[in-house]
Amino acid sequence: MAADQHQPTLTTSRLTLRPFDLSDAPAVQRQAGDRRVYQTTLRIPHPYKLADAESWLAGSARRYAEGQSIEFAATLTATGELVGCIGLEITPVHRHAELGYWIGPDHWSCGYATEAGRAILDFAFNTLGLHRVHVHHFAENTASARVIEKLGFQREGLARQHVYKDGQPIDIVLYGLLASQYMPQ
Amino acid sequence: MLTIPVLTSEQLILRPFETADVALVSRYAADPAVADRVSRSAIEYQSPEQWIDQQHVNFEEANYLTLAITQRAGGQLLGCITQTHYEADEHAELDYWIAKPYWNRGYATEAGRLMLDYTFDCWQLRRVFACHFATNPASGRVLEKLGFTREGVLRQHYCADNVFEDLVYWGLLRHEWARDRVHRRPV
Repeated sequence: MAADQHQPTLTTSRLTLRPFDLSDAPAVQRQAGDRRVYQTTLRIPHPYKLADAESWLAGSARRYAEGQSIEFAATLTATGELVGCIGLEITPVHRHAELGYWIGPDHWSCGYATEAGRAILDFAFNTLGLHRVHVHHFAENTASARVIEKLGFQREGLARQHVYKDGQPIDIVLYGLLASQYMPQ
Repeated sequence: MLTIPVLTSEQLILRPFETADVALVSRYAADPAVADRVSRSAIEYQSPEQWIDQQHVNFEEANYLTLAITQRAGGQLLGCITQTHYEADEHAELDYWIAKPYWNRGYATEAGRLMLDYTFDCWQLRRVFACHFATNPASGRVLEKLGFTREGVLRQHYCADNVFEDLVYWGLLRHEWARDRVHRRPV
């Protein structure tokens, strides 16, 4: 991605996926600061301070410009309310990316992760021209497993006790989706 | 100052790389038999001297441990083995290569055992994982002999020269290593 290109905005039936803005910090802090988000993700600190949200948001445009990652604010088109975050961490040399997302617990079970995920996969394969997208979830997080399966990912493995969180080893379920097998839904 | 350890088994000595190894490392690593089977990061460097210096820095700062695999009798350099420590997750990644003239003699397995024993003893590890290209099943046999469990295949995950390679993913948990170690014959 060239530095002079602006990150696009993607739309789905209910959602607008747009670049983050510093003014999203309080909403990001409130939603990602919920312990339930912390429990299902690896890199979000807890407690999550406003300064944590601000410093992460401040780097988002740079990470996009450098081609490392692309992060979208998932917002309700009707109200503009932030419901979560979805993005890709890109490894250009291997033409693959890792999909990551979280949804604020107030907005769980509405199908937003799946809806946003479909738009991101379309972007990954048809706009970025990636060869593969991979994703993982903590083995206990069955809600995330359902999202990933609905998106058409194939389960590729289980990395036993691969990460360590709050003194507990966690199994990670690994999934991949190839451009050649991607079928827009 | 931390000193890179020297590990010894029946046939092998694993020791820090030295400047005198540089010419041979370059030749071994340039052989497609090795280069096509390992990730670029394992063998690509600005200069071999820097690569060796970096190993000392890595060991001091981050507990990467890279060792030269050498024959105990005669000192011949055979290959390279690295354990990369991810401290926050209490796991490590094992990588190795053996120069082609020394394949099929069990050297990778023997070196792997030395490395696993040392790092499980000295580092706070719960797990070691390792990956190899699906096109290189010999590497999988080494991991199997070391007690690893095959945990999955990441399809077309790695791109080298426009060829997408499947990565086979293996893991070994501390209790599995400890169980196997008890049943091993003393060397």
